[in-house]
Amino acid sequence: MSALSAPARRLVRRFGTGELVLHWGYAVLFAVLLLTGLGLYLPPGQNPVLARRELVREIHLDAAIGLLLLPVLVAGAWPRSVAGFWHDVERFDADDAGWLRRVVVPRRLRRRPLPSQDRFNAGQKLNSIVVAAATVGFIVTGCLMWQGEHLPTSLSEAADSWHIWLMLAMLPLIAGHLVLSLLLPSTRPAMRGIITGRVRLDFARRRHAKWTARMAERGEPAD
Amino acid sequence: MGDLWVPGKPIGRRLFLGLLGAGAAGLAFTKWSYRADDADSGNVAEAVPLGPMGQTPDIESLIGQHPNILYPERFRYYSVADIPGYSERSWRLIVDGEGLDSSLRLRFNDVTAFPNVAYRSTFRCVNGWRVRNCVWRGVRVRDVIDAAHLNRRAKYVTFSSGDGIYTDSLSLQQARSDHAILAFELNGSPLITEQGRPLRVIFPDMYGYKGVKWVRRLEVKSHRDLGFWEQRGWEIDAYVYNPSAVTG
Repeated sequence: MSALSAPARRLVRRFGTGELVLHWGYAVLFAVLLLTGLGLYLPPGQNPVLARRELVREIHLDAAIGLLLLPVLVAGAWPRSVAGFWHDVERFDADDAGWLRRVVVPRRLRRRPLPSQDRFNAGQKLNSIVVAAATVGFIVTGCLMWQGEHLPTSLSEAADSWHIWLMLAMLPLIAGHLVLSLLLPSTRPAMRGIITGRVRLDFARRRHAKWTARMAERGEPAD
Repeated sequence: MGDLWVPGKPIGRRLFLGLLGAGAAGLAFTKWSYRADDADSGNVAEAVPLGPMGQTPDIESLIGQHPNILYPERFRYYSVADIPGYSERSWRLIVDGEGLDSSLRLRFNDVTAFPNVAYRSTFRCVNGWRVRNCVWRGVRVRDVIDAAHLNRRAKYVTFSSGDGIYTDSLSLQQARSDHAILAFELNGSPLITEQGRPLRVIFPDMYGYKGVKWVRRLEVKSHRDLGFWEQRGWEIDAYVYNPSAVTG
């Protein structure tokens, strides 16, 4: 039993320190921005911080500045880790296209398994890119709202509308992200990776076979 | 599979830039579709005939309480301190200051006894949200302060909220304009608590932060008091249109 389970329990490094800091820094800042944003937005009866607008607004703006600085600081401190992340996220191949087409088909109806995936599957790549673009959108529209008194009202109004629409568009992405990482048994082992940087080798082989094969080719060791 | 899916192609970069381009186009289109909201001094408020109180539809209850993702146009209620309570028995509006020869302590009924006016205007927040077609009923600031006899030192009017923290000010000329009112009714209904019950300042030529809610005191002064947000960097003259276009 121990001989069989031993290789499965071996760990491989999936994320570098820069990636971990970027993920958790983003997660914390986004949570603060979402909560304070709701505090600036929700109506009476649903809003426990209605009477603390100045404080809530200050926290929201400080967190937004943090969100702007985070990728710059992380890229400066861990350039190889961030470059590796972007390299792996932005490249899509035929397997990614197949994965995206077939992942929406319920598992029992799939005639073949999903194409093997690299360190990030195609869904994770898409999610990262959409979140990055939305973040730019939040920052641009937030700056327009912040400087609203110096702009035509139609522009600050458009920025306000898009800020809200972006938030609404992000909610299902975040909900899906949380379900996959915390609740779904088949994907939950990934949570260990984003906490410690390492995932179990058997999970990596099952979900990211192309990546583990590449590592094996290069002779990279698992822990 | 076409060339697009050659292994290792940086599709993600194109997708990222494409999303940014689509977002910029969407923002530009939305701005264009909101172009009618770019006010000028001539259309910022429209006088409407006075109807009997409580006879017009209460759209505040529809658009004020329930955020609707498809129709986000609603009031977002702001306060920087605990909302002051209101008792008709003890509530008074104090009108005083060095720019007046006398002072007034007005009950709510005394305030509403001044000539009533009603204006239809768009409520504009400096953060970008707005509520169109608000009909505010109230009394002109001009009528109230004139009743206490302005003197030569009268240059500015400071409005103080009953929360004890929020204040703002207008120049005497701005405060005496037709549009500057002490409003007690919105769209046919008395103001709800979060909207400033029982009385708030409405001056649609400027952004909403100039309109002190739960207003309890008007001081006519020789010098300008910086308001709550103005002490934090906001514009003193927060016109919703280019003030250089103001004539007269």
